[in-house]
Amino acid sequence: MSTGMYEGAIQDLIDALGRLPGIGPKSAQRIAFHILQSDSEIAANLVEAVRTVKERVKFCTQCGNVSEETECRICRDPRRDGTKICVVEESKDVIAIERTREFRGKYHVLGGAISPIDGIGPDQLRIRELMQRLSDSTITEIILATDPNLEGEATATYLARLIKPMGINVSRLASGLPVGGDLEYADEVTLGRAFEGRTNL
Amino acid sequence: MRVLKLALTNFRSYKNLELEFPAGPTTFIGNNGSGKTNIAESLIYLAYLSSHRVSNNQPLISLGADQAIIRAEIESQGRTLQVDLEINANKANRARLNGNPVKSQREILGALQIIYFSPEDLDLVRGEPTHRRDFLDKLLITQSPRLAGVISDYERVVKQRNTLLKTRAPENALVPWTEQLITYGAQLSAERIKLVDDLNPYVAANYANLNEVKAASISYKSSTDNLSADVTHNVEILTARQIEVARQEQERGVSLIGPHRDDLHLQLGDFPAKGYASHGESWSMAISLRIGSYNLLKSEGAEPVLILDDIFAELDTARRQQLTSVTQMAEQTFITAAVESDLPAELLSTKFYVTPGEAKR
Ligand SMILES: [Zn+2]
Repeated sequence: MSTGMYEGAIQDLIDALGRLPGIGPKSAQRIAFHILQSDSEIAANLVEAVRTVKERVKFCTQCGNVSEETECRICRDPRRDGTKICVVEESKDVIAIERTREFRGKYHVLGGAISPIDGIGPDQLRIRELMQRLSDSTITEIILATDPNLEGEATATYLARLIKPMGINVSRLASGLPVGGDLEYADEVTLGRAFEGRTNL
Repeated sequence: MRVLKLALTNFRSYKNLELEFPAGPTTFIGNNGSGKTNIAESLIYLAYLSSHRVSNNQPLISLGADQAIIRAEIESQGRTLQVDLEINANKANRARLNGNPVKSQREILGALQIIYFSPEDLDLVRGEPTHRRDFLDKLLITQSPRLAGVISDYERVVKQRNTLLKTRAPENALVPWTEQLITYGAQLSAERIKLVDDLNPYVAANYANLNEVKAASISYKSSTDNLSADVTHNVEILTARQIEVARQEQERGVSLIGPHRDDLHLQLGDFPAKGYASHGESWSMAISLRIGSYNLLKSEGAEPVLILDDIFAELDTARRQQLTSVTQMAEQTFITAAVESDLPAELLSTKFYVTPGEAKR
């Protein structure tokens, strides 16, 4: 991956940064030198933030959302409707849907979408955990809120075919969402409307 | 439609190039390797968001630069539009329309409509089906930019599904991709079939105009029989056909039906052009496909810019004349040539002499 132009620690940092999503080799180099040249306090804060997030933040054992406790805030909330589960790809999608205030049920975070070319199949996602939750008969409705793109659609189709035979009501967010994009890019009004007008599969 | 100004930054051999163009023909004259085709390529990239010469972006970016930038001021139906495109090697391109950033670079499609001719056009007749599918798809994108989304979604579905087929995945894993293959495949087939129907008479007429004796015609040759311009009908047919080929697909590990397996059939008299056409006939066919495309877009009210890249040296007098007569109908034409004397006088009203990194009037 790296061209190995610098020696030792600085190259290690460039390599580590370059493995992060959305950071190419040139950006990695720029960030590394920025850190090198900035106050030690800035670097210390960064180190501390990275350490703390790994120590403190875990994934909710119920829904897979990020959480500082064993169960997340939403799963712990007794006012949430436990008969409805909204299935999303990432934790950020939970935030986007929460902003609409259209949904008072609980969530299930898959951790991505099915994408064979990226080596992601059903086994790489939290689908087994979802099926376990569904064996609890109090759940009556599943809303599939995967992203409105090819991989999100494929994941929704796969799940619908798995869940419908169990006699659970399965619906998909209504169209009107920007096609090809991420759920998080949809504004609150559009996303809220898509929620209200969800279609039964 | 007309390109008023073009500015290139770190695009191939150009560190900084700023040009202004009048209406009518503009000709770039320079030796091979001078970079004249790079100017044509920048316009082609702006029109299709891909190059006709390379499949990734890296070669488009000057050595040592982070990105290449193409900026164009385009006048169309009395409105002036500023289009800026930043080309990146390892991340998504970024684009602006009239200075406003757009969410996806695809939003600039349609701002510049072109028809281009290049020496590689001979591949349209003699080359593999992929050249002809690409010809149809680029024309579809020019006609209606929203189809760029359908085409790229379809290509991605085929890739995803083929990856699964290679791992001998079970049927329940394939279904979500098969459904989308049919959805997008039905749309793309319908669009291509309608396009070929519309294009056929223009191709035939242009071929006849080149004093060729045989009758030319084109038709859409699909991997599935009985497809039509009706999407719903295509969904039914592809669904039935998919069941028939399911086992064969599992054995061979590839998606066997759909527009990625189709071809544009070119017929000359009693024989297919491929394998039977002479060198001259092949050029007549290639030119007829391009001029026919231009005629079709014009008939739909579009005013595409013509780009004739290094084409005159390839053609004899009759074909040169035919091409020159098309430039008289066009609001704007860009021509590149190594030798000035290859060009008819009508095309020499605005000349740029191109040397590496520069173009001077
Ligand atoms: Zn939870």
